[in-house]
Amino acid sequence: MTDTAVAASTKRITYDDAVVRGFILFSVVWGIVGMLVGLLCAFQLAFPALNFDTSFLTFGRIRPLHTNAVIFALVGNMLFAGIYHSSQRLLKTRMASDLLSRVHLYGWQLIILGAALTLPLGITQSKEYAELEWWLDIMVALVWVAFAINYFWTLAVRNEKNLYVAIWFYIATIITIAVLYIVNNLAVPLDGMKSYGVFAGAQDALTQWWYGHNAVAFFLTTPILGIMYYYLPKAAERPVYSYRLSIIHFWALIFIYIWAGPHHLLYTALPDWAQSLGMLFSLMLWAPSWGGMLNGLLTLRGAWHKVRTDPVLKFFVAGVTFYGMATFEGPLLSIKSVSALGHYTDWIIGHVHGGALGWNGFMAAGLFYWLVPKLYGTKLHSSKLADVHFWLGTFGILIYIVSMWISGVTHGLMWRAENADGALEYRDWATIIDAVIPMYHLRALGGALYIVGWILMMWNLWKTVAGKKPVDAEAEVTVLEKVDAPSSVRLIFSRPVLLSFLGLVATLFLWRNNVIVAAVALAALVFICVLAWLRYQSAQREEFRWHDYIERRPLAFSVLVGLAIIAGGVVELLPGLLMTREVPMTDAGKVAVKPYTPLELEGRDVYVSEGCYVCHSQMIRPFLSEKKRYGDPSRIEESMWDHPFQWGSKRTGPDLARVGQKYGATWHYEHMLDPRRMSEGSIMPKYPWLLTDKIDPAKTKHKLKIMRALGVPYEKEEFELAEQKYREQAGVIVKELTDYGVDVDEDSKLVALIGYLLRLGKNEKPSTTIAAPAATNGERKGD
Amino acid sequence: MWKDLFSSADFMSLPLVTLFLFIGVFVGVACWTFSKKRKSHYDLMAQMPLEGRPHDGFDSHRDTNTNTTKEELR
Repeated sequence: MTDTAVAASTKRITYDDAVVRGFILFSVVWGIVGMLVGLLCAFQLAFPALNFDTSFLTFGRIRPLHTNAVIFALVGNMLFAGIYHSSQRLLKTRMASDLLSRVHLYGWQLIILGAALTLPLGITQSKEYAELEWWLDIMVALVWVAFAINYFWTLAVRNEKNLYVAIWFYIATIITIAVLYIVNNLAVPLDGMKSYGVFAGAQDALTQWWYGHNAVAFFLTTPILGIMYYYLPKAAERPVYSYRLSIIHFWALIFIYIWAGPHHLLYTALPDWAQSLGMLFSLMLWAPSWGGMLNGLLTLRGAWHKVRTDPVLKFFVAGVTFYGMATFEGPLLSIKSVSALGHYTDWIIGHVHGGALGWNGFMAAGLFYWLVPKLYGTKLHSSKLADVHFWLGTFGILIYIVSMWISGVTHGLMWRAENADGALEYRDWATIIDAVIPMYHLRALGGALYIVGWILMMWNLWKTVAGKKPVDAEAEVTVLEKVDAPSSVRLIFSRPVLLSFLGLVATLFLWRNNVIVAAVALAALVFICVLAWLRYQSAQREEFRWHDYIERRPLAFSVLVGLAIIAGGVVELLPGLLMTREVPMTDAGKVAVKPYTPLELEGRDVYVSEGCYVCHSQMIRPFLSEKKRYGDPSRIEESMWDHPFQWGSKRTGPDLARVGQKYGATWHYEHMLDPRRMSEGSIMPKYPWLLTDKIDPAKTKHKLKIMRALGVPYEKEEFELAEQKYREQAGVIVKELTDYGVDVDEDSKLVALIGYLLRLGKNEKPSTTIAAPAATNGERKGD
Repeated sequence: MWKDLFSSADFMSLPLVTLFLFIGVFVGVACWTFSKKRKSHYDLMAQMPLEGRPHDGFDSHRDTNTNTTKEELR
């Protein structure tokens, strides 16, 4: 069907609600698994013995399992259920292909199963929310393509001319997630279980957080907003407060969100311009986010009394309110001075869970309570039980986020506290951790309450559907026929789009260092504005206007959405990717940052596999307090050979960027086997399996070959010498440990990891640095 | 062209370029959206999720398409 159509005949259709039921079932079941794993993580931080000294249950491995499960399994399945159900109603047609719907449904569960099996085994890329290895990434891409084909096919055969704003949000989700996921996961496979990303160091960090931030934006936010715009009016039985505001909300949100990723990298070695860009656009996000929240809440004008008795509305209202809280807190945390205090602390964990438990979790609960009875032609088993779920969940979230706020601010202040002599007040890390252990207990309690509520929902929904037959809704729809209308191509290359593009080009040329070019660009910009105004005036006299057509042309609409998100991505990523990687030299003419030796490279893979990045950063910020604690601020070139980067985003343990300057092999040996032996009060897990798990040094040369292909300056001659070099360096460590009185196999993972840890922070300072403002901006006090 | 542009650009000015660009687009979209002539269209669009709405679009004279069943209304 096309944008403009006329009624021809009517027909009766049956919606495909079986796929909706399937996604709901998997969301609820995977959700409880993901949250129980999260609860175990929370208890492990309070009671390290709960790591059970077992590799596949250790915190560094199961924390990524928790995040992936709740993001892609709980929320993913929930949003697919909402999209499939609401889109069929809004488009007045059954999904175009039942087969593709099933490929999506079961393919997605296979991916989740793959994640549940591989992540505890330490098979990971170590990029947050993108941990899955290359073959699972390919599965994600294929299933997503099946979803996209089915969705756009359905759009093409729809029996409704206009696309409601919820559909816009769904389209933006499908397009943007595809772009983000593919770019961030570009990698070269080593074997079936391991790959190396094509980006390294700062480029990798920028790409990862462009993805990571926008995974939150376009997986956890935009589709849920679409669900809000459809189901909140349904539940409240009144139209959305302002459809106009929803349009502003949509375009502003998708345009701004894509630029804000670098706020995850403030005060790192990322160039300052990228940090400023991320902060600026993050602050601008306040406007559309709160516009959307208010639009949702004001939809209940005149119907607030229903919130008292309707659990669905309770969950929706609280969910939208948590959305407002999280989207206020996010830009706040992206202000550099606030980030200086809050980054790497539990404050970020509290912020994330305010959004995940409050916004995503409550919107999911509201959706399920509304939808499941309808999908079985019955009523909810118990509204009172749903109310109990609501209050348990609400108190659980509040306990969780308040405890994390207190813990985060406490950590931020203790890290920078100085005594009267100017020395660090709290140099011992265990003292810092000990101060917040009560908050970790409270966090676990909050999480447990939330999970109890979720279990009550499972039981309530089970009682609702038990013994009932599924009902696939039917509707009589008018089949529309195609009539003449502008084609998608004509719409994409129409005057509004061309004028906007020319305006963008002219604006960019304003900043050239040539006065004549800038003057011509300014004149062109004025001319374009006049043309745009004239075009706007003439459009007012037309029966149908440009955006009216765009709203009914999914292809043209999708292209414009793609342009909006790609514009942000290009300006954010391209300068960093185009930077020439020059190998910095020292004043003495030596290479300042040497590639890792074969042993260090293998040890780095152990570090990645064990998820050390989950608790340790490798990025010293330019604050005096951090210099006193860790050493000189990190420089951009220090991670230039890191595939993937390991800057981290959380410091449950101290930063490790210069740990090699601090401890020797014997200290690391004792610490890895029993952290509390070297640091009383530490909450780090023990790693006994590293002593028995082996590396095959004969295979290390293959890793060197891939690294060379990715631009790391290994010489070809080094490939065949890799095993020999490995054994030489491992032998030195083994001898030191033997002299210390312990017997260690030189092929053990522990020796390789020690080799890597000893290397950290031992690069020499280059005579000139490449775009390393963190090192050249001067040191700032962390306040 | 892009490489040349980025290599010669002062990156600190990029946020300013993008800020002005965004404000321009935002003002344009806001003006267009809040045009008084479009109120009736938006009122109708806002009804789309609700069953029994009178019609399904701003050119409602062309068709009605709202016949949902009991199952759908339930």
